[in-house]
Amino acid sequence: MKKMTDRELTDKISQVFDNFEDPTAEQGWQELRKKYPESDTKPVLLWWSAAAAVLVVLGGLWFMTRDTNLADQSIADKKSPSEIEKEKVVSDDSAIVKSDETNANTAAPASQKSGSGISSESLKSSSTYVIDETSIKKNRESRNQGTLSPVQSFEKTAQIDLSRSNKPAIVITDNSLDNNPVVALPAATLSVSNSEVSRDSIIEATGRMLALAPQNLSQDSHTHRVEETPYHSRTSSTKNQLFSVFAGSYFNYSLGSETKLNFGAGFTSDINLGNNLRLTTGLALAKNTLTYNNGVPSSRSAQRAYDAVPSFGLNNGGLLNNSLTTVTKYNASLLALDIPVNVKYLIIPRDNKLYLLAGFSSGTYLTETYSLDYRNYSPAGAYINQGQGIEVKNQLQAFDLARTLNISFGYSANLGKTQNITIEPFLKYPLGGLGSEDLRFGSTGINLKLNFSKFKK
Amino acid sequence: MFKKTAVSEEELIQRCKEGNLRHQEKLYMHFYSYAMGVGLRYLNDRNDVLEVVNDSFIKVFKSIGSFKNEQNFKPWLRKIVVNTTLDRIRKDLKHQNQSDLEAAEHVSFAPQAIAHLNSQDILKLLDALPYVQRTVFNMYEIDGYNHDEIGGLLQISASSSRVNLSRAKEKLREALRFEQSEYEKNDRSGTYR
Repeated sequence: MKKMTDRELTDKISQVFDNFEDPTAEQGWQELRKKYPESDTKPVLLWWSAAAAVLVVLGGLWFMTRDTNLADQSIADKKSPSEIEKEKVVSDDSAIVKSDETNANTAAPASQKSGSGISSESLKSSSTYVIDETSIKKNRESRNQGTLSPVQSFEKTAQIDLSRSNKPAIVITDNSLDNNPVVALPAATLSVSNSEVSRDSIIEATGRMLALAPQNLSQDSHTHRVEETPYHSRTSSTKNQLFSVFAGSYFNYSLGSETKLNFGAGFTSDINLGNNLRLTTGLALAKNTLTYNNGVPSSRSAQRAYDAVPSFGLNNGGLLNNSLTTVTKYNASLLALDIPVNVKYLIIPRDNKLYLLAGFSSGTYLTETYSLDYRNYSPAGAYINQGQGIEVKNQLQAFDLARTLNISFGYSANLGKTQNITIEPFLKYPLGGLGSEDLRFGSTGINLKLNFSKFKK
Repeated sequence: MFKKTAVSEEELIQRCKEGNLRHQEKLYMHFYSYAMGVGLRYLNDRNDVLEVVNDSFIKVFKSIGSFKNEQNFKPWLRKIVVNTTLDRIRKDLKHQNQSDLEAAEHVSFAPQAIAHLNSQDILKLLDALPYVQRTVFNMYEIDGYNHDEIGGLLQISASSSRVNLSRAKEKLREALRFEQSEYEKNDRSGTYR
């Protein structure tokens, strides 16, 4: 009886609750939606993603702008030390071989001539190096007394270089050579012009100096600096994808330069070329910086870049006549406006998650800043002065057409129905010199892309 | 018994596997009452049951990809609801002392023959049981767990599970008897006429 009641009750409970009816399903669903918001958050996610992308772009721009401002400020800060150096030059009569009167007379006009393409800062800094009349007189007197012939000066320089074995290569300047001081590459070129010096003696002196030129040039605190800017844009991975925004970090590389971490951002769009192929193009802003601690870049293009810096060519900026100048640091900073044209190959067209991409980048540079640090020595080898941050700025001066090869691959993951996110390692390989100074540099890094496609209704 | 849906149960489940929110809602509406029935057998408070049911459906939506089409959906859902309920009970048990657990209320309802008990009557009966006894009774008698499984899930011994089941049944019988006598008393005096 007891068992029967139990069984009966259990069956009844099972039956009642198997057929249980509850009319509150609507309210229950509303409650559940408070806890289960994943589906609803898709539009929110979209807006958050877009906002994040915009922030990344703005942040990148701010970062680049801030760097430019800092560079300007650093130049201003460096003026006063150069003036101090000038005082040293004037006071140290015995150690300095000064230019003759003719050279001295041409020095000031030369600095005035240099207006084209040169910043006011560099004009100011160059003017501080004009030798005054008293020093010229002293120079003439010393020459008349035959204290030092140019050859002797070279020999003396060589001796001093021995004692300063870690100093960079040397440059001899003289305004009598079309008013352009010539600055040599480390352990490379040496140009001398002096009417009293024979060609053979110059060559001989050059040879000696080259032999004595230090190999490790990175220890000096004076350097020419150049700045730069590149970047890339990439493709996306969704079949119906219309638009992608991306941000990336990457390393700039160049022969002789330190590897520098930089950032860039931009957008791309895909054009369908077939089942597996997409044409990807867009626009990107990218900062590129290079630092050559061993003087100017050692590549052919870099040599040209060095010679092209007007501060050193026309303005005599910071360089003394008849002095030996060592370039201790050379920096380049370029903010690139990159226009990539790439072909994307979808490895599995249906999937759209994995792709290979290759193409070329063209573009110009919104700002290019090149700067250098240097140190001057007298032909006798005595330290005269040093300068920092001699700078040249260009804007939109060069357009590089298909000078960079882009290679990358990407892997995408869905974020929602209309968005996905792609990780895209890439390599940008330079096919030629880039920027107005023709520097050859590349970059490699990773882009993070947010891809948007059509809303499905 | 279930709300009619324009699509079959298999199709509904398939759409839910694709993450379609509209079909998730349909699935919810379709099985909501059943899930509530399972939860109400275990828990006193209706709000708690709704919370458990919703948590269970969230688990269903998240793990429906692993559901095999040849399986029957209702047992799968019931298992999820029961497990979620047990989680809830375990959590509640930590915050209650033994006296709370044993202090079953004496409920009053108009008992009829067992065959005529409705869900409200049964819920009143079940509400009269302490938590552990009610849980063991439901698990063993209705949901088909054995004592070892119950012991493992409730972190009690199998023998303790047996004892609790026995006490639960005894209390239910007592409650039925008591209410039956009350009913007959009142019936004679015409209260239920």
